[in-house]
Amino acid sequence: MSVFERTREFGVVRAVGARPRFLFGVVLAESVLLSVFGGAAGVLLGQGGAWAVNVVSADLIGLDVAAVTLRLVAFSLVVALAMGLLSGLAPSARAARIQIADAVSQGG
Amino acid sequence: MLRAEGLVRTYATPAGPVHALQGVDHAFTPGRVTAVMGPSGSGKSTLLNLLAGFDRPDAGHVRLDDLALDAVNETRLAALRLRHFGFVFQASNLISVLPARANVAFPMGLAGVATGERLRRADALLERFGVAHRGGALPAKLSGGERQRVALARALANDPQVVFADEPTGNLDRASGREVIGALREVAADGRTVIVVTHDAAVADAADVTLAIADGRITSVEGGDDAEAA
Repeated sequence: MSVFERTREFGVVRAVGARPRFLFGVVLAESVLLSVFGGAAGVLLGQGGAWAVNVVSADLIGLDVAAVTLRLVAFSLVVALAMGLLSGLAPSARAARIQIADAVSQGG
Repeated sequence: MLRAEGLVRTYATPAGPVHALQGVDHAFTPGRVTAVMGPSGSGKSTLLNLLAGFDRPDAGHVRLDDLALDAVNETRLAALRLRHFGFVFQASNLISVLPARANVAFPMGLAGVATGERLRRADALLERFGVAHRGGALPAKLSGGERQRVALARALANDPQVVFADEPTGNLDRASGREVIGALREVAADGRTVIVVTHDAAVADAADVTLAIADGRITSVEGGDDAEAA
């Protein structure tokens, strides 16, 4: 769910005493976690894809031509982490700046 | 004691400035339920927002004991709300993904209370408001009355001086509303200041002090022999 969809809930969290940086951290951590899990899932899919390619290439030319190396895994996870951080900054800042009075009175 | 001193709040709108509060003075006495009543647009919600530190006045001050809320930054204001204020909203506004018990424990977690202690205190508060058996239920599974009682338990999580309730009976049937009113009176009997913004005449009848607001001004104070109004 986006920050917009959770405005009321974030307003309540701020109303009961959470500091702005608490919400900033929560939203950013959520974004980073989602990206890293996505990256990890991508690596697993890549592993499966490499296996499938190698089944075909071994049959055709007797060689494994695809490999998911440790370096590739590390690069993928670092890119995922960076994307999570970058894409999470704006919504985190928005959540931290939420106007409590407006947020808690929202419907839904 | 919580005091409003000359509170003024004006909102800029495309149609021109709206003078939501035009100089409100009042001292809210601990141990009493104060009902703030008035028609829509009278300024009662604006008053609650300023008293609770959700918004800042254009002029005047809100003081908790000797501390002016408008003189502190947002981080300190959050800490003040955490330790000294409790809130009950019309729609209860519990955190939807947390069970009732975790909702009550949540503000204690923000305040740094250890896990075991906050769960013990959450259970005691749920017990006090008669919803201990619903501690594991998500808010969506609770009735309106149960949600408001859980919200009351959450409001008391960090033993606040002041409890604000914004239309706490607005979404409830009459019987559940009576229960919530009774619970608010109990909360005040602990020596806390209870401020209720309401349209509900039953809440006003049960309050110790009733402030009537119209056009951003307090027009009458009933029952507050030591209250001051402008």
